[in-house]
Amino acid sequence: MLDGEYGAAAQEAMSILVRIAEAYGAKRMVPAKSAHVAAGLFPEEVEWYERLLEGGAKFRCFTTRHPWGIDYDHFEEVGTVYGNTPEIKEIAEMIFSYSLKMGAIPMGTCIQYLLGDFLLPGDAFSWTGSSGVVFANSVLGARGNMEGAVTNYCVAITGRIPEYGMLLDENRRGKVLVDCSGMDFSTFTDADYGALAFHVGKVVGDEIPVFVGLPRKMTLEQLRAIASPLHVSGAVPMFHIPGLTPEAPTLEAASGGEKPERVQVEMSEVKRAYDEIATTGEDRLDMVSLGCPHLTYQEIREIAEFLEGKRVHEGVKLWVGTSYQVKVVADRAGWTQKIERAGGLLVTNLCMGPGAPFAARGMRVVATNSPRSAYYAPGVEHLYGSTRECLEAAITGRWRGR
Amino acid sequence: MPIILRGRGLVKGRAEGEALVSKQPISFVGGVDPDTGVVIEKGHELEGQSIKGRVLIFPFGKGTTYNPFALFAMKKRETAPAAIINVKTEEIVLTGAILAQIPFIDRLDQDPLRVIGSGDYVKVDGDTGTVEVTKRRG
Repeated sequence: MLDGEYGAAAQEAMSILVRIAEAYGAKRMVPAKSAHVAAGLFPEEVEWYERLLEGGAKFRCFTTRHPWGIDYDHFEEVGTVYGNTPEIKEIAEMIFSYSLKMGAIPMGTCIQYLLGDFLLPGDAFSWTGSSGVVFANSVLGARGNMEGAVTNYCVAITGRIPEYGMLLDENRRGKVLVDCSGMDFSTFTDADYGALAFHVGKVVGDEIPVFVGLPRKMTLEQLRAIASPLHVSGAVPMFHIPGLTPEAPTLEAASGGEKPERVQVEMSEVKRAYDEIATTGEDRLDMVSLGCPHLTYQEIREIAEFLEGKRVHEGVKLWVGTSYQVKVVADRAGWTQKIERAGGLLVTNLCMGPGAPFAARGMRVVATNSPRSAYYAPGVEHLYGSTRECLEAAITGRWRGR
Repeated sequence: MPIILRGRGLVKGRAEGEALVSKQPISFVGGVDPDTGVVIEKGHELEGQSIKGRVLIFPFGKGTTYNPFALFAMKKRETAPAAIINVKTEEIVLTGAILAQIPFIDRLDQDPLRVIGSGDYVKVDGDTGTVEVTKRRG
């Protein structure tokens, strides 16, 4: 590829990957099972994609598309992080169409791993979106580094990944034993799991935590609530739960036989994390945002059932974010109608975190169940609580918090 | 006498300019206004200063996956730094510098955050990995 036999695009993409490989001391490239690509919506990017297309760019591994920022049902009302003008819509559409031409599956979500971007233990991937990367490394046992949008494209185009970092066994061992055995999980909410993970990310930094003392059975949503904040407060690429995640049949296996450092987590620290995640102590709010990462079928159903017969407070917006595949199911089941009848909006193909258009829509104080959104969503202040607390605030127009 | 530092040239090319040094990591998306090159991240030690045409020195990158595109866009808008020096690079700043063709060096034989001060005049040679620092007078 490097000599141009597969076209100019493959040559450019491989030359970038070779430079990454050299910078990290990777000895070889390995086949990629999956790439997940995204765009930053800078008009100048278009030039790069056009150059790649002219150079014959064609994705050589299974590649899915991150949200491209257009909710086709509510574009005027929702817009993008750069507003809702026809110009920005045109750029987003153009960049999207180029990724489609190269061969991306247009999923428009950050939970691609739940909707057909299927990975098995040992599969190598290059994905946009840190919550998905942590989930895939930890829960699926697949192997990927936190890589930027340019690298994701280069992997998609070449079908190859430089073998460094999380692709190597020696970098996947648990280094810090996080002991949660003193806590009562019977009353734990989604926000409690998020706050726990936010606290742990801060404590372990860029090391890999091994959780012990969690409930023996955990739901997909709980595992995702743990995965998502770890790379927000810290730079954690994966976690282990002995007896549950695939690379941790035992504590010894998780830590590679070495003795990990031990950290005890107390409920008081989880509570303190709430105050660190929230950026304001106000009790008025302009919006409730749920959907960073995008919500699952079960979460949409719970929200719809809670909202049945209720009404979102005057002057408060409720946005519930998911993928449009999930929305098709929600439409069929009647969940969308329940949410919208209450005055909420089921938004799709939209980033509810770093690329969220809350400030562009004039919002100032936003309540969320996501530490990740509270940290990244630009230009607004955040309140943090469980899905239930957020929905109650949407109905009453007041934040009661904890 | 200028100080000579040697490191690893990750993106080739030569550039020179006044140094701008940050001990904190930098995010280009959300952290820098792409139209002016001014750092807009609240509370950042470079807040209010322009990175345009400067030799930008910081430990490593932070922030989102779109940072490479931000550097590329800033290069096109002529607000990008002339060159970048990192203590230890990561792949997101690296791919941004490659795409924007900004000379880029890391792993210098002395800590650039200590040896180089904002306002020093710095020549960067990405081909050889060499950095020449002329201290600001006074």
